[in-house]
Amino acid sequence: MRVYSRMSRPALLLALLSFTNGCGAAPAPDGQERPSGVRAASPAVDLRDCGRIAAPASAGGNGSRESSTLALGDRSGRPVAYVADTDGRAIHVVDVESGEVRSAAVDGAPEHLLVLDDGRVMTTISDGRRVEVYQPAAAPGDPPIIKRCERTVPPGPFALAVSEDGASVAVTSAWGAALTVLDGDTLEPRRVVSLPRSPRGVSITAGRAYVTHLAGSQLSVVDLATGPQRSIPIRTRAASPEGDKSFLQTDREAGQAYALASVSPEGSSAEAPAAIQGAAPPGGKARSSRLVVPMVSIDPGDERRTSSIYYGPPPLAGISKHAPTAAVVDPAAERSLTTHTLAPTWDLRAGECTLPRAIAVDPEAHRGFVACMGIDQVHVVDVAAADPMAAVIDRIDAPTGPTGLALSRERDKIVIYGELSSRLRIVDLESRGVRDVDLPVLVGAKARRGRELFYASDDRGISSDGLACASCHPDGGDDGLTWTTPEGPRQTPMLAGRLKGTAPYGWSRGAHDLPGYITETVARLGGAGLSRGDLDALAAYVEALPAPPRPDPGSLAAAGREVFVSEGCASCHIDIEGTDARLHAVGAGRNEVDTPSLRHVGATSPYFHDGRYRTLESLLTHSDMGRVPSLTADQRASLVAFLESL
Amino acid sequence: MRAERVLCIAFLSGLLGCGAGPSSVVGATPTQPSAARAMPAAEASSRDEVRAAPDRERSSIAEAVRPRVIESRAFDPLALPREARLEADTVRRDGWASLGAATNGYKVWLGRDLLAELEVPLEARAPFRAYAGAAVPSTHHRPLPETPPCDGARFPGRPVARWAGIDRRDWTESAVWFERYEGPFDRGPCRAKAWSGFRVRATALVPGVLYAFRSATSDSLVLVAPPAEWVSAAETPEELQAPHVGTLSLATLPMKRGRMSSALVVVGATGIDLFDAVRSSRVDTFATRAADYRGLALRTDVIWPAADEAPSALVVVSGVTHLPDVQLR
Repeated sequence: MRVYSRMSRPALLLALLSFTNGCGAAPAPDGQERPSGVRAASPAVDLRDCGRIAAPASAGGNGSRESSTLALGDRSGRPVAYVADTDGRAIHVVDVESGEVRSAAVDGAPEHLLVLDDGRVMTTISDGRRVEVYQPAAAPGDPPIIKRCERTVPPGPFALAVSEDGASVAVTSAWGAALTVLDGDTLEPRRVVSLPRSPRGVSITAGRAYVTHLAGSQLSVVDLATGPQRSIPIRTRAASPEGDKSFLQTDREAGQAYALASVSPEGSSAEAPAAIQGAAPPGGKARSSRLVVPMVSIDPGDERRTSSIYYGPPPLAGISKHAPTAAVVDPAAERSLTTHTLAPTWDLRAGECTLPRAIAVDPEAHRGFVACMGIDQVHVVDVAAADPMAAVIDRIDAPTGPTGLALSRERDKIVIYGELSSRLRIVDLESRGVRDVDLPVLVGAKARRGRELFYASDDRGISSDGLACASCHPDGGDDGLTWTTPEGPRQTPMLAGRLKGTAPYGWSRGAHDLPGYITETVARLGGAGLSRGDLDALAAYVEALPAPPRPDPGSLAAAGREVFVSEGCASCHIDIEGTDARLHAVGAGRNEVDTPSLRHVGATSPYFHDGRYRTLESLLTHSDMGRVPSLTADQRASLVAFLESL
Repeated sequence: MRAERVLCIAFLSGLLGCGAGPSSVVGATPTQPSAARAMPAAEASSRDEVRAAPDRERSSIAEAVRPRVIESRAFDPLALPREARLEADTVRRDGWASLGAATNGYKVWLGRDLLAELEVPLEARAPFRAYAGAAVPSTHHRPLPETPPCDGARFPGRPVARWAGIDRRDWTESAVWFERYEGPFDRGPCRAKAWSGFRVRATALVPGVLYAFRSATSDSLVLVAPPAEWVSAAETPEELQAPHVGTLSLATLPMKRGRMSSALVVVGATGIDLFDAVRSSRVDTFATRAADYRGLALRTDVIWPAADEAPSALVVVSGVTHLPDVQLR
């Protein structure tokens, strides 16, 4: 989740906004100030009706069936780009040809957008629990988009996908850990399927939804008609002729899997790869589709490979700790074909796509476009390769913080959304010409700088090997991993909503000053260091990261609260989500570790400072913390339900 | 983390001598290149990339960037030629013998005109390997050259020797004859005789640089490339083995339904020059286009989704910008 702007908005920018008619200012969550004069889109039609637009004034988009922070549509024959401005809480509508920008405020943080074939525009409200549906303006004088309706889904909706026939729409919920299947016509919910933690991107192929996760090294697959969820492991191993082979057989974790795309490797275009004389690929043979998941292959280390200076072991066999990889998944077999990450050379560190955020595919030219946050590039990759992320054909400079991509219907332009710079870049793939469109800037300068630094993955000031803060704390959360550190194994803590008032920082480093703690961490990462201004901006940014929406409390949660209090848990976990600001000797080895905040603890497995417990049930069964050993089974069950509601 | 190598470029024709050839300048230093020697990222960028002024301040990491794709070529792996077993009476005439130590290696006599590699697996110690006339490579992990196992009096028995290589005759940019043999190694006279052999006209995946054929003995693709700076192959843990890099680079890719396998061979100018010199011809196709680069990264993928009738394959040629101290042509 990204920070909501509390900064004042320059009046000049407001002139750029074309507001919707009707309603007054919509309240921002948590009582935060909304940009002056920006008003929510008007409910011009029955909010209960999400049905197809009977006589659409505009057609659907570019044929993309997966969502992004950017989606292309069509208005009166002119291509338009819809942009989800999460931090600015607005949807910008950009005329791709003229560059005209019109904006509509949203009552919440729009995360992703998807344009359906009749022109309906869907967006996920990531700080809430709903998707909203808009329709484009019908006449020149109308507001840019008009809200049609909304649908309730589990907390933290993130991505959307529509099936090939348009009959189904799938929505992932990042914090509710669920997939909601909607009817493609009415957008009425058909089913909600539970998923493992941290789901993000979704794609639908042949009646199945495939979902990426930020943790757990897996891809989920759900039959739209029947459910439930199944998992496809996407771990890889290092492949190299050098090094200790036993290490090469160590599983590496998968992370940063935000997006995925379905590709068919058999193109018909002249742009397809040239054939080898005497061994041309057979024509006309059916090839099954594949799923391409841009991600990173991560080596956090283990008890055999510890670190005395930083996080994780040194690079093994030429493969960095966070190595860009794409999992190529065989959907028919529900199996990842990618088993290894190959070392491209022995010392690769610069310009790596370690924060992939979006993918768009040109199906006829074997090209994939991957938005690489952190290095501000779009990598053009060969999607026919076994590891497309290792087959970089081209690099396109992107505006800062690219999170959204869309390929024009004619496949001659790629549109890139630089979320951190509020800029849209339109790149002509034939002439290689570039045109930028500046969007309203709704975030203050200091917050923008802090945000840039948080996501900077190729910045020598922050690390020596290309890691960003967001590498281990995606979206301000955690990667679900336990890293080797000089203090021993340490689980990555969640940051969003957990920092304010919870000093000291670090599991056992006892840092009471957040900028000071960041300075130490940067030094540990091999970074050259940040200026005082940058340090303050970064500290302010991470401290202001908003907590995600709370999950729905289970039926046992109320009883669990009583257990929490009666059994003395609150003596250390002050006010339940706070801390006593002290170190305690816990667990085997009696390490002295900091009391963590329990906010959103249900979605941050594994548990304990060293990640020894995979589940809350396991922690409350085996831990010797406090009075845990004396809990009854009923108390344990209700306590788990309560913790999962925080 | 690069292999230190001593290559011999004396070619096999009857009696062979060997030693550290001029190609030993490649990769002679087993340390990682320093930051000062590595190319800055900006310098390594391709000319035709879409460039724009950055929006933000940044002090980028000044290290090498990932090789950029020059070309990708699709091929049908099942259309590649398959090794054929040689007639027994033909095979029996072949063999080799070690003639003892020489400067920087061992002299080996080989009965065929091959650019070859020899190996004798030995119990309780590393196998004896000889390359192109017996230059012995070393790596970080195997720093000492192995001695020829000519110690029959003390160690009776006849281990199985294997040798393989490129027939120097009729070697073109588009195809090459590749042969491999195996047979008992007699430790007394220090001699191997062939008892079986295979021969195939390998097809060039990258003209003059990378050749491939199908194995006669397994469902796999065999890649033949010049001596490489770096070879990496993706196989299952059970199959994981170091693709060896000597006078040739050889890598084997399994072709199994529901599986994918990959090998990456990074070759520098000296390796390509070696092949060119032996073949007595140069390849213009990549020499011109690779002029900006210091080497080529050749990645070959075999992909066989379970629902497909047959595997598909792709070779991706990328330009490497940062092989230390070597400029391609």
